[in-house]
Amino acid sequence: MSEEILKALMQLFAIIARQDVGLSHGERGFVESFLKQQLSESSVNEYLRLFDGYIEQEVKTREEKPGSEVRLTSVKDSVKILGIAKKINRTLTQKQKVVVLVRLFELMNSDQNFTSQRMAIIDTTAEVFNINKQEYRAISSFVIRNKSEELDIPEILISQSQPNKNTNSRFIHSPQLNGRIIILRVKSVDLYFFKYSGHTELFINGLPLKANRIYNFANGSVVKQPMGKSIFYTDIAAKFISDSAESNVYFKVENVSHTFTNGCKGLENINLQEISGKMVAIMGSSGSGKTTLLNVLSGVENPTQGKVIINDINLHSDKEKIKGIIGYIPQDDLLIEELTVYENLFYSTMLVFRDHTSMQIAEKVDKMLTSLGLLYIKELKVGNPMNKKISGGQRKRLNIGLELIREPSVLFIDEPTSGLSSRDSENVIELLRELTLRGKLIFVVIHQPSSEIFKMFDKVVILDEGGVQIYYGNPVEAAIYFKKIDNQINSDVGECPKCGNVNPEAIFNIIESQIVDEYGKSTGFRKVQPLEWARYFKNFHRPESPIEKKVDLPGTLMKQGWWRQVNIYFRRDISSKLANKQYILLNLLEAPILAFLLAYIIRYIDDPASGVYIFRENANIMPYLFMCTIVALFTGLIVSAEEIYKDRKILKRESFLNLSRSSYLLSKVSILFMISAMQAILFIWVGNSILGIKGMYFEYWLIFFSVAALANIMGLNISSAFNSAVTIYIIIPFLIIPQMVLTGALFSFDRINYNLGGGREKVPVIAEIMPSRWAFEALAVNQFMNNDYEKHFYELRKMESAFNFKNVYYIPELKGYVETYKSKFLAGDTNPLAEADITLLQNEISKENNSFYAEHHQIFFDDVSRISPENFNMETAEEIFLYFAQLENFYRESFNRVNGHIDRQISEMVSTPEMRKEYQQWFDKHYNSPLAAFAKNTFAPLPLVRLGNKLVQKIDPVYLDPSNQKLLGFRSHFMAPNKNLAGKLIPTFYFNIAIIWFFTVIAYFALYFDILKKMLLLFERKDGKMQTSINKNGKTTDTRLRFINSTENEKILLNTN
Amino acid sequence: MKKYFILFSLIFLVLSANKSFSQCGDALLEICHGKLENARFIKSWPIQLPARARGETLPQVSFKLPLTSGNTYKIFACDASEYPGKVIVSIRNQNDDLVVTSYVVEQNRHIPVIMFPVSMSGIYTFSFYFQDGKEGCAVGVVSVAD
Amino acid sequence: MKKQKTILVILLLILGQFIAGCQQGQQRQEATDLLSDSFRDGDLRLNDAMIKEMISSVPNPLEITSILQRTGVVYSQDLLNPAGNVNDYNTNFQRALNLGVYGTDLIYMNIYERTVATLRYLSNLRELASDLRVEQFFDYTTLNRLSESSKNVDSVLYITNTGFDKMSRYLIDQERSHIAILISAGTWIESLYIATHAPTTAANKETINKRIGEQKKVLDNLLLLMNSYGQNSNFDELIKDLMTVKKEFDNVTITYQYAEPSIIESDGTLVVVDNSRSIVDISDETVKNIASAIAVVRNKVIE
Repeated sequence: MSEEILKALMQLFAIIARQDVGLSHGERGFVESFLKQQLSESSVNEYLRLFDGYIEQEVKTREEKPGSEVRLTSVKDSVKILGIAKKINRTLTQKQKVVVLVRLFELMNSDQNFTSQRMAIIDTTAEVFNINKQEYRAISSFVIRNKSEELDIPEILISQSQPNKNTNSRFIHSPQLNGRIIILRVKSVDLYFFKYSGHTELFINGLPLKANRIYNFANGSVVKQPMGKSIFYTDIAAKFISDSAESNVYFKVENVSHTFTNGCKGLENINLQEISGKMVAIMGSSGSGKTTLLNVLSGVENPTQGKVIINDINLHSDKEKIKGIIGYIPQDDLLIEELTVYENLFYSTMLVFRDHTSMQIAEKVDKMLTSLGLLYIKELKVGNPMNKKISGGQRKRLNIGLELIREPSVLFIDEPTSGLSSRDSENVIELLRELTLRGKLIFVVIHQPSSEIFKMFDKVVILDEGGVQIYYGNPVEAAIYFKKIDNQINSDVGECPKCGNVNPEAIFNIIESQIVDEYGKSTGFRKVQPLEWARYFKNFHRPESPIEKKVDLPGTLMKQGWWRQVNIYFRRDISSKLANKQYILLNLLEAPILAFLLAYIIRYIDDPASGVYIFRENANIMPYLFMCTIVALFTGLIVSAEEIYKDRKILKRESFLNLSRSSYLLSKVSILFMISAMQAILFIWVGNSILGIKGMYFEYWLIFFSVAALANIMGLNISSAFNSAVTIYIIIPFLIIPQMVLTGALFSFDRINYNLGGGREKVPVIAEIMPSRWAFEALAVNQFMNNDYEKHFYELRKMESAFNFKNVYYIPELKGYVETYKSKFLAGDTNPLAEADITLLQNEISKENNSFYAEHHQIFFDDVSRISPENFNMETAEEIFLYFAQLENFYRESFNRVNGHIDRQISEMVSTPEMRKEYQQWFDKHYNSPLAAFAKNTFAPLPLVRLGNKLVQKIDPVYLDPSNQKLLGFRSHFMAPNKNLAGKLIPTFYFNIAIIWFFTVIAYFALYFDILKKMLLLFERKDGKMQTSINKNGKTTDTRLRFINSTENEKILLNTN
Repeated sequence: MKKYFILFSLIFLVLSANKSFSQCGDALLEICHGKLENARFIKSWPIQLPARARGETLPQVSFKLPLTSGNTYKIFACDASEYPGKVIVSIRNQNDDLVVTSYVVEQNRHIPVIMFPVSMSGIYTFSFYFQDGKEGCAVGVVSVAD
Repeated sequence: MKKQKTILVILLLILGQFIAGCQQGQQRQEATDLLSDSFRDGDLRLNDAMIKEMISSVPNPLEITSILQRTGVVYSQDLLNPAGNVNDYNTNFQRALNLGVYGTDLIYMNIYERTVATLRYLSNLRELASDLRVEQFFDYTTLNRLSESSKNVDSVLYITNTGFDKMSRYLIDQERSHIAILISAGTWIESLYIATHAPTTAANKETINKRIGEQKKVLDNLLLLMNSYGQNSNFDELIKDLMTVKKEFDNVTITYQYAEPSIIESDGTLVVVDNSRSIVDISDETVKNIASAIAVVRNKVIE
């Protein structure tokens, strides 16, 4: 009770008490005991003093005007009361006002002194409080009357041992109760008041109850009597809520069996039938298949035999038809720990009610939080179980609320009470009990329930090892049934006659009791095997006559608003990320700090004496480009690697919501892309600035971002496929290391294993599938070609390089073959040139005939067919010689021309000392010599090599366009400036980025169809050792352990025999 | 050891170690290089001349090289085995006086190595031709002996 | 819908390619135009056969430096062109001259067995050679390895000298004899600079001075070679600068006393006994003047 109410009450009490006869001893006693009931000892005294103070004031005012009329004073009091009541009106809620009114009645009732003045005051108060007349009358009769016949109004519920004679009031029969319990419902504010007249010692919420005192019977309260059934809030609510939903769900389970992929029996011939408004417990020792049953019943898993029918619809074969009416609350926590209680519920609700406005949803959420009793903590972050912000019970209730808010008709809950205190457990079950009032059918897997909880179920299903159904029926009867079979004394009594407890433990003790040897030691053998129990049950159980009732199913959820789903997912994820300050800070700082460390470390001055940093001389630019690629991969993977894994439980729940996976993925992907784009900006900005890489920020960013984006999706793939965080982090090196090795930066493609395609003309196939190789190549080629300096000369130098290569290496090499032929021929060798060499000549000469330059030089070797092993002769050799001489001439002249042209350009640029200085600065700032050496492969051991019957250029790859003109001949040598696509040359920078995005799209589809996970499952299934049921992930080790234990037991037994 | 190493690395240096290359050319220098012994290499010239055509003058090729007094020059030449011509070198001073030739006409003998301690600095002309005007390929080397 | 988005991104990328492709295409067009360009430089010059004959009249720096070493002139690092200067050479003209300069420095260092210090000079040599597109004549890897020990001096010298030799012949064959001439000029300028600035002693001064004086004839030949490129402004300037040196050399008189050589033959080796004499008349003053004149030229070259 709040301070305001107490203060208001003290004041009102004081006024009423002073009326007419003045403060009676009884009244003060009431006030004191009332306060004691509400407050701690010290506060009691404080408020008592406050009360006494008000009384004294009253007395004083009276003494000041000794001769005044009593009637007059009363009017004055009325005015005063009006004042107080108005003040109260402003500060108190309607609920609190009702409480105040009830207390006022109670005060008067304490000495049965109902003078007209007092009644007038209360009337006034009620009027000011705006309490409706009927309810006011109900309150008044509830407080004042005690006899059952006087209380025959619909607002009242009576519980007594005598039979009910009233027609209007509601009734609960309590055969062992002395006196009666009277309960009032104030409908407008949804409050219940409770009062008892009798001599039985009752407990309300565990506290002893005083006769004739009025108690607020709050949501979830329970009144216990020493014998007989407790009265729960829900029982009472059920009596009042007459408009409770009709049973419209008919749930039937027929001969359901389930066998795991490894051949173990999970469920054996389960039969159930239930209708709406029931709460059914599923019990059994651990490993008896409770969760499996829940999974099968909820449609998560398909049974191997039998069927589950909801209103004539097969749950498993016609899933689509009943999607949305089933709710599943797994044992795990489904909360997003960074979000508040409210937000958790809010976003979840939004996903369900996609056609509602935010306002409507907020309203719904508030209502739900109220009924969950969580409204007062709605702004708290939920935190995680290790770092508790809200209690376990609150968490559980919120978890249930997530599912409840969409009002599924059938609800499956896995161990809602595990890990909760008994009080929290009762609260949770109480909440569920309340739901059945609204027509829900609820299945609860429960482990070791307390007697109270156990009794709250309508039915209980007991499973034994191997998923054998050994009981199905009333929980209290279950105790009797098993005791009877076990031939126990008292077997016809279900519960302890004195305390009313039913001990579910006892049932399991009977079920699992073992044969005891002559020394009293248990032998490890069960007295009654599961199948035996099943037989007993079959004999005992009289199946209820089937309820055939065809009712339309409650409306299933709509599938609409894909964008809205994306939007909600997006907002939810964003707010959960923004709420995690550490995450935000780390993600924002990670990239720039890494960039700073990297760039600052490798920013060195080649000539320490000068002390001036010159970009051109920094030998670490190529490694920096490499690191950019790796950092992009790393940050991209790290940021995404746990994303889906973290959400997996929530996703499982949300799979019942008929939501689209693509909207979830798209929201994830876009958030991750945003983070990566941000990181890319920061990294490139810091790194490039420190190293003095001029311009090209966008190009760098684009590549960094593209790689990070791909890594994001790769990370999502693994986070979707693997089932533990450790596995995910073990996988990361597998994804990163090969990418590092095969970038072409650490190890030259010319020097990797020949079997993998090393040392060939083109990049090895194994490297082609490495995104890092495309990214690094794009970065390096771009940095080399498109820097402000090289840009001016690139095309010229490209030609210069081509002419030089032809002139210096290529034609002399070819000429060598012909020379050999000539000299050997002259020496009388019958086979002057190997066939392979002739083929090589033929290949290369036809290539030259078709080359880009041939149309300029117009030097053709007309009949290439003559250069064949059959036709080759001295004449051909001479002709080739001549042809080469012409080519050499052309290439020499062309080279000199281009070389001279470039030289003249540069000479002009440096014609004066100032210009020369300017040129030098321009050159120093934009061109990086070590990178150029890499791009031009200056350190190649051989400028050209022979591969088969082809000559392959190894130097100046960055000036060499790929030769393959075929449609899909996009593969090329490393560091090529352009790539071929459908016979067109496309700049490497764009082409490579397109390739990276192509990978990204593929990875996205793999993610969408969860291909990696499916492959893993296939692999595991083949392996046959692991239990593959994903839905049993938590239990896998459990069952295996059990298996091992049993084999070990067998071994031990064998040995003793 | 050192020489073998150089030889090896130089063969490596010749383009892509193409087996089909003829001896005439750079490879010949590497063969000839063995005659250098302790002298320090200064200059080499590859000489490739066609056979003397009827009615034409003897094909020959000349190079100018300054020689310094006080130095002793070691001069030699090598022939490519696949050509018939045997190379003859003759040295003239700047007044065009013949100083020495590697062919002793009287004895029809080729001198493999000429040692020339120079006492008159100046630009000398080194002329190469093949005996009897045959086609030939050779390399001429000038080095300075310690 | 997401598919559409992805496609849009790809389309944008492709569009970008073509825009960039167009720009590059322009540049390429400009470059290919050069192929049909009828311009040819250096029409007026000695023919290549003459250049080939003449170019070896520029002495190998090995000769003068080994004389310095033999006569006990001490090594001086200060005489070298600083290795860091290599970055300042942007045109073929500068590169060719300094390729010669660094080549001389390299030989000088090797003669004095300062092998480890040569590493940077080697890399400069390679850099300039590759800028001039004549990198094929230096096996940098081998040279680098050899230079790690002073025992390999002979090998380094041999490889360097043959490399220069071949390079020069190749350039002439490729109709780039102006580069070859500039390389030779660079070698000579640096040799003369080192010879005139090396700290001499009374004991060896006369010998060194004589050798300096003998360069008179070499310079004449060099100028002859260079004059064939007279229409080029860079060449003109260098020739003009060298003319100032030549003016100083005019004060040197060389007289030749020719006598028939006698020949002794032993073990297949022909030993020529040269009976001729050349007498170089050069004053200290002249040496000093030559030194300062060549310094001006040289410092301009390496600038």
